[in-house]
Order: sequence, then C-alpha cells, then structure tokens
Amino acid sequence: MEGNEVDFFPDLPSKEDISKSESDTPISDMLDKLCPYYMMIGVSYDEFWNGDYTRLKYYEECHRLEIEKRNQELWLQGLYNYAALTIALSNAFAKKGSHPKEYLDKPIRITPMNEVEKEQEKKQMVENFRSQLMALDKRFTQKHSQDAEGR
Amino acid sequence: MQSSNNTKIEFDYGGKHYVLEYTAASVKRMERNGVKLSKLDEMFFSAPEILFEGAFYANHPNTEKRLIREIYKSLKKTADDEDPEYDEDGNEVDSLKEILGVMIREAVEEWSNRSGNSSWKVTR
Repeated sequence: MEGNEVDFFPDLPSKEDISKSESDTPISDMLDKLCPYYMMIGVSYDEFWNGDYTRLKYYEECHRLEIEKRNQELWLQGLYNYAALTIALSNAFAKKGSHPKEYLDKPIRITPMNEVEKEQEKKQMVENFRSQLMALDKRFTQKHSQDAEGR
Repeated sequence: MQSSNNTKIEFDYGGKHYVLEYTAASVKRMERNGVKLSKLDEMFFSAPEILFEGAFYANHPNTEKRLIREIYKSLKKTADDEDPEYDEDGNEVDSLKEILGVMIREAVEEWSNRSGNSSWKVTR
C-alpha cells in the first residue's frame, strides 16, 4: 500500500479538451467545472468568482494537508485495532495460568518530544537501569550468603 | 510558494481611485460578450481596449464605455510619454497593452494550472 497515490481531483477538462473545444467560451467552461471542486475544499462561491485567484493554491495545499492528516489518523486507528486484536487472540489462545497480555496503557506518542521530556526520559532510563542492577546485586548477595550458610 | 497577489493596475482618474484586475467572473463576462480568450494574440492587435474594458468588470462594473475609452487613451499616452520602451526591432512597446497581457495570461494560466493543464498557456 505504501506509496500509492489517490487522485482527489475531479474530472476536469484536459489541455487537449480545451484546445479542441468548439465552445466559444472555453475558459468559462473550465471555470464552471473548477468552481464546485473549490467549493468542496472550502472556497466560497463569491471568493471563487470575485476573489483573488492566486489564493486558490493555498486552499489546494490546505486540502492536501487535510487528506494527509486524515490518512495518518486512519493508519493509526488501524494500528490500534491491530494491537487490540492481537492481544485478544493471544489471550484467547494462551496457556492456562499464563499472565494475560494487556492493551496499551497509554496512546502511542505521535508528536516529537521536547528537550525537557527527552531529559526526563534519559533520567528514567538511567533510574530503571540502576534499579535493575541493584535488584541483581541483591539477588547475588542473597544467593552468596545462602551458599555460605550451606557450607 | 509565491505570495498571494494577482497583478492589478491602480490609478486615480477624475478624482476617483480605480483598481483594475481580472477575476473568474469578469473573464466569464468577457467571454459572454464575445471576447475569444483562446485567440488572445489576434485580439491584442485588433482591440486591446476590449481587454482594458474587461479589467473594469471586477471592481467598477458600471463604468460607462465612453469613460473607459477616455481613460484608456489617457493612460496609454501617460505610459508612452513617461517611460517609452522599445522592442528588439526598435519599435515602441505599448506598455499598457503589455501589462494587460500579463494580467490576463496570469489569470488564465493560474486556473489552467489548477485544473492540471500546466502546459496549456495563452500566448500572444
């Protein structure tokens, strides 16, 4: 699916259509076909016919970004659905007594972290590593003392 | 991305401020009045005043044709007297006609680009 492009533009006259047009008003015909498209993406009727035509490109760019945003949202929704289904199936077919898997405890982060958050994450990682080391050391000490008592 | 401003002609005449430009509605009105924008080159030599009149439709739709012709002659004379330009052959360039050409080409090309006809251009 990656890289597939969808054409959201309506069926508009091509260069050939216009040049071959036998109509006395080829530009008007083109404008009549463009108007509903621009109204669909948020340009008012009045702005299309009486406004500055150089603004149209911004509406188009905005429309393109909206489509991309919607696409990202749908993709993320699919990812959540996939995670939910995977966990449900995994739990359904898990061995008896095994610890059930849980759904994500918080949403997947999609915005980049700021400097403070990056620093906090680093500190948290160091803290977690230290806790693991201490636990390992504790287990080693206990085992060592048990072994010493056993001799 | 370029700034959002279509090309306009602004001037004062007879104590009134005029802003001349082309919009979709004014271009449609020009075509309805018989202006063949697809044959712009022919029009330029035969009747540039028609293009000038069309530029009034957007902001000054009720201006009398007599006054438009009067303004056209006045502006053309001013432009020619103040800043005469010459083409490669040494002929004097009609700068008012030139700017009208720029305006109408810009408008039509912008719409054709939007409709995906980027290679379709009005030439003269």
